[in-house]
Amino acid sequence: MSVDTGPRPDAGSARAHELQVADTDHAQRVGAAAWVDRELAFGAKVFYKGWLGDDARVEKHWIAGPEGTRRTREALRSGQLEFLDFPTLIERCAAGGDGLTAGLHRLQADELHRALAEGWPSVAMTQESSRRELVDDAEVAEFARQEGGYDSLVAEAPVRVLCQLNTSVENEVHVFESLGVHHRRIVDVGWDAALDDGLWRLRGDLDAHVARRFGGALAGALREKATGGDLHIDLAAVGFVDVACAQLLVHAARAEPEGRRIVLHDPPRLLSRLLDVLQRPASIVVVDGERP
Amino acid sequence: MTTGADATLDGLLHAAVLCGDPDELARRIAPEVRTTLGAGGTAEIVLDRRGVRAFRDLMGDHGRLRFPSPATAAATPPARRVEGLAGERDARGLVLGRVCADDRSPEGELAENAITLLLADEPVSVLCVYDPADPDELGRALRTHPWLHSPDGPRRNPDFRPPAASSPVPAGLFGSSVTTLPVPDGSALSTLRGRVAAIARDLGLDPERAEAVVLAAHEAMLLASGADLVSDLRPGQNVLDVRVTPGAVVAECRGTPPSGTPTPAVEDPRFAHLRRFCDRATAHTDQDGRLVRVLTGTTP
Repeated sequence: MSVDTGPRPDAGSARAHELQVADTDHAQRVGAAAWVDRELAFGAKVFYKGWLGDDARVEKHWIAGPEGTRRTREALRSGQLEFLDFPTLIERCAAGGDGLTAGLHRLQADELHRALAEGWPSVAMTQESSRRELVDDAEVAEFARQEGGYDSLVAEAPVRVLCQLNTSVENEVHVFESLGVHHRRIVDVGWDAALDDGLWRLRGDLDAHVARRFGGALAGALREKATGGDLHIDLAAVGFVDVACAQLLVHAARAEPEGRRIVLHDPPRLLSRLLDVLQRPASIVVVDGERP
Repeated sequence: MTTGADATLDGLLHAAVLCGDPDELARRIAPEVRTTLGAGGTAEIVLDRRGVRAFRDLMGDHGRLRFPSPATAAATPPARRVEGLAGERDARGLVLGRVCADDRSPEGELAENAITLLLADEPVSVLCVYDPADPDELGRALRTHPWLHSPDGPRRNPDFRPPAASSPVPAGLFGSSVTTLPVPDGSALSTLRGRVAAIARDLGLDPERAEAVVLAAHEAMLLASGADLVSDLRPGQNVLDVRVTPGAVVAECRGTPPSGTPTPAVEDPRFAHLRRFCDRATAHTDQDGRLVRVLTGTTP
């Protein structure tokens, strides 16, 4: 085992399963490269799953080139970073004969246990956009079960998971469902979300450009609450909400069962007015803080 | 299209009243003032002492008949001169005066054009009194008014020259351009908001008003691009132009929605929403695309 001894930045929580959303290949690579570099600097064993070109050589993948970091290239050589391409992953998952999802969960658990047995202090896993069409409800459900495997690993050991979503290569259904599955922790362009002590904390600007994605995340947050109480959303760090996103809140609240509420904490100054313009239902409750 | 030239009587009626005698003027306009008051609307007569006396003699006192001084009206930007006219049951208002006619500088003509453009959707009759015996006044009256008031009611003015609804807009009309920004796709909307917010901050707007200016400009750009209520900005040659006058900030958003975009901008729900966050909003569609302007006064 060889660990880089350079400066180690704050790696945040030791356990996390988050979604990083990017609009372009370049943005996806920049974000993923930074995340991988930080994990390596923190001393984690990193498992990377992605797409290789026709020649299936990791040396040709962007992460091994100038878009990756020196630390990443060295980790590929030392084994701190392991790369697995998607076709091989699918082949291995299917080999067990009990379905892709079961095979995937087994493979992920094997990776985790092997890394811990080798003495790595923490484990990081990331995968590129899977380019699945999610053509029907069955596929969506399977996708959710597969992502649930990561949640199980995070609950079991110090594992950090980064799922990369590139909106330029996925269809609208995939983007929407992916945001919903990952609503607990999302880093998108201009906004992010984190579920923390039952409070869904949003940050940044919610506008028409991200409205469909925000709608997906909101649907996921409400789905998780399907058998629970109200959805509490902390908007203290949100600077702007436009008509499109306010409309999503109104539609979501109207679709909720009676008695369930969406409680907005510390919204931007104009959001209450905007919601009134959109005929806010009683199931949206605004709890004002004192914004400067 | 919502320029005054095409407005129906649901919107602005901007008409010239060609009359040089105050007593005759009062006799001609009194029936219309009575109709306005009878329907629950408010009427303002903005004339000198002799003109006011002629109306008072005919009309007597009425709670919704007001006589603001010409000096006060002249100090108010044209686009804000009809504020406070909303009557019962959203009845039409009426303003009669010669504030623009008395300003013989080019600003007077620009003010008429500002009324035509910026108040296009207001349910109000703006009746501008011009003296037909004065060739300069007559010429301006005919150039700048889509309608002419006649004893038989308003009629279209064939000599009207519609003001430019597209850039470049005369600086005297909407103020000087302080920033121009291409907004090619939705990812550029945050830059638009940042730019407008900085201008609002520099103008010293109170925080809530500043946020409203930003929201109105953001929604105006989406509307100009042809986006529907929940979708992203339509990519295209979308451009923001922000103009500033001493009394107002104007965000002018030009977009190029695909030809055949079904809903006229003014009927779009987004247009109704954005009007709640600015003082004036107009939308025009012409051969160059769609132009949405939002104006917010710098003081509440």
